[in-house]
Amino acid sequence: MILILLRKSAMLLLSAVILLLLTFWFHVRSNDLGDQDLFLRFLIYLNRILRLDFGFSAQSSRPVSGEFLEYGAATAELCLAAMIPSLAAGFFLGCFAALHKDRWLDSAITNSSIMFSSIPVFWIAQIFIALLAVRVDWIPSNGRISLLYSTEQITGFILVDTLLRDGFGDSFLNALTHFILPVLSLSILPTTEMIRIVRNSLYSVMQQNYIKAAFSRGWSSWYIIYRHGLRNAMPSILAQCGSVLFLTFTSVIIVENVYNWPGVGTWIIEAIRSGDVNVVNAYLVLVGMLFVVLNISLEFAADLSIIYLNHPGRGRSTPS
Amino acid sequence: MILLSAYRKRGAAALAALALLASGCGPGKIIHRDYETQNGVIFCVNSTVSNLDPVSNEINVTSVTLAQNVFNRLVRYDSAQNTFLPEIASSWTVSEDAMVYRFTLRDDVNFHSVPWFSPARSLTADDVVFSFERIMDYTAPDGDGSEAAAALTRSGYDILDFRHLLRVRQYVRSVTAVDRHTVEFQLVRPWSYFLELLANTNCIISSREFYDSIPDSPKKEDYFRNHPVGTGPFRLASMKFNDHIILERNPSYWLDPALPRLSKLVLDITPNRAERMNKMLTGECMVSNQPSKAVSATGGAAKNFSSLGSETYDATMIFFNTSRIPTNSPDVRQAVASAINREVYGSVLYPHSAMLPTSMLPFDVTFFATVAHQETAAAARLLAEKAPQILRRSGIVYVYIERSSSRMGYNISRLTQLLRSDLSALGLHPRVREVDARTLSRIAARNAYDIIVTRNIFPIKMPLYKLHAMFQCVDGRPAGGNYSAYCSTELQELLDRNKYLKLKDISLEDLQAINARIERDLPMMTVSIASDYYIYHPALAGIRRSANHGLDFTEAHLLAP
Repeated sequence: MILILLRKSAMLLLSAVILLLLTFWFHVRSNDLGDQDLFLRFLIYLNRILRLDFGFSAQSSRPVSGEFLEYGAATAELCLAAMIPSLAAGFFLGCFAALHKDRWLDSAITNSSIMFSSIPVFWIAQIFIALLAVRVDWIPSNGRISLLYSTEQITGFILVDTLLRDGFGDSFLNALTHFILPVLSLSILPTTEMIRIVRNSLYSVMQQNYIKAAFSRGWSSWYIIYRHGLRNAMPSILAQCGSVLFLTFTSVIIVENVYNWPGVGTWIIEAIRSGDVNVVNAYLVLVGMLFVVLNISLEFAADLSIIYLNHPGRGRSTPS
Repeated sequence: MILLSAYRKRGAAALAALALLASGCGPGKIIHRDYETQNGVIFCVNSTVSNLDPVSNEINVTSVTLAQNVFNRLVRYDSAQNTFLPEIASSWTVSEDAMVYRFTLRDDVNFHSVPWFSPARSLTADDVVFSFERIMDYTAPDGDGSEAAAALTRSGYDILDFRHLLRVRQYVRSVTAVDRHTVEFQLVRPWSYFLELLANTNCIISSREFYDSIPDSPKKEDYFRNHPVGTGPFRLASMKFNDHIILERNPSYWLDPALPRLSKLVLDITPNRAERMNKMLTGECMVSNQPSKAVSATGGAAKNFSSLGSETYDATMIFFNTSRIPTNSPDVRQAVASAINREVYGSVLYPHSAMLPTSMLPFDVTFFATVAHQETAAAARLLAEKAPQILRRSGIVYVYIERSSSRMGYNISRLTQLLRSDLSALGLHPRVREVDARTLSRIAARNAYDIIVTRNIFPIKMPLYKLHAMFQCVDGRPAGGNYSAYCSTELQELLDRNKYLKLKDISLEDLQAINARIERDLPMMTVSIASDYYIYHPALAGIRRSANHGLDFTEAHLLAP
């Protein structure tokens, strides 16, 4: 396990260095690190990154790191709200599909997920606005909360802030309704991806002889899936969850812009439009590092689960 | 399988719930309940502001709405009675020679008490003097008001847009406080338009006490501009630059303690028209300006939006420099004009709200379209065939398009492309450039242009006033701002006679004569016009138009459901 940890740490470090070198090259071209030797300039740059000093935004004149926290909280809240249902729905639908492979249920689930994964996020977001927001009075399509309510920040998470301020009052309900369409739009692609991952991983495990033996003993399908199927499929599922995260983070940029959600997505698009170099650099570094850390963490978790499953002191999950 | 049938029943129930949801029978009108519980209104506006000081902002719906609702003026104009009524001034006298105006102020006008300032006294004459001195300083040649301001004041150019404040400097020799509640204005020369200027939305009264309380520093002026302290029915609660401005009720409004009836007024800055319409349709805005005709006609009709017309026309105009080759040739001007498809340009310039002009006048005069336009249509068609030959001999044409500094969705870049391609197709080699107002003034002063394209606002109550300024000549020579360098005694007389009249009061014969003269010599061409108006939710009542865009929410209130 220590070896695995060391190996993952080395991968993390290597990825971080490559990312920093790339962003450093971008910064060198903007020539704000002085005229010294290149290595010294890289050290200056590294020092700034480690102190989270990304300078000031050209648009708002505020510190970029402060803005990232503010917008990042909004994006994190949205991603979390979207990923929970998409992981859950994708997981259960994937299990259903794997259990009923090559039958109508599997075809329905698989074909639907292929269809939805082919539809562009921005298109489906606009359809939701036209079909739901316009027709159903209480479903809004813009922002995180109505401007009629005080937007004083406590934690940066709007649901938490409204709960702390007013309990389960009108402002909390209003904020909750603002989540409906963005979460619906954002959760589609991760759900389809999760269905594919779970279905394929679970199916390959369900083909094993010990699973067939378990069925022949008359155990229920769900017990077999839980006790044997999922446990053995989990390392593979965990290792591939990175793609689900990736899909969520890339889709969130589009969803935030469609619904005017004040998160990192709208922040970076506005920065690119106005040529705000400091913001773009901060985004590349921080979001890049976040991806690297998450992916490596998931791989580490997958390796840990393999170790756990094959630990000699633990009861084996496969029949001897 | 038993398991599957149980899932089928639950699935059917879920689908039924979704269908019910989609049909609109949800858990109640939470969006509109927010308006009721908060007693507030969200007004979606298309323009942003660089600061919250109406004196230093250009006129757009946001800055005028702020000026109208956060500040007051000495007098106000009542369009129904066509007269001036007291506001901060309770009465006034005018000297016999019309050079001195003396205003008696109310003694019960209080400035806002806000987190950044608590007034120790009520409004006095000193504040009025301070406010007008600020306006005159701002528009001074070395003030923030720009070189364009100085050039325009020297030329005597009378215009009715954001540069109207220049006329304070032009016409007012001094402002003095006679006593605590009496102010005297001495004019440079008699000017019947003076009260109109004082009633203009941006001629606001600010607090000298607040200005003096700010510590001296390079950022003092910026701080003053971004922390408004007025006397109006609303005061600033919070703002986020380029996003929203939240105003809250002034609990001690001097005019009437019961006003305003709203607790909150939010200006939601949404430059994109489609996004504004979405917000109207989803109920996230209750009022919007510059709506889309398509949406307000169909979606709006379904939602029963009400509309409030604007008192202005927005016109894009082309001025030909008649003092320079090649545009000094009437044939060249007519040829260029014939190449411009006004319908296409209109749809580009004012998507969803363009009106095809039926004359050369920059406002809607459809009532005489059949008379005026047909006379020149035949000639124009004939000329269009010869246009390429005529223009091929002309050479390079320098075209300058004035760029609007606000994010108003005016598609300047597309206009530039269209002009470039249309003029090139005629055999010209145009140099088309977008420039700001300051640069345009310098170019105009040097006479270094052939065509200028500008966008102007024409108020319904005096539409010819601005047109008169655009063709103004002094001693037979074009005045500054007369971009076409065109002087016609007949045209000047017609415009001079009608410049103070409302559109409905101008005689048909005069309008036709003005149009005929312009169409014949073509110093100017109106490319497209649009009339700005507002749509609002029928649950809102009591909103009024203010002059030069903007709405007055003093008496606005939500109707009981």
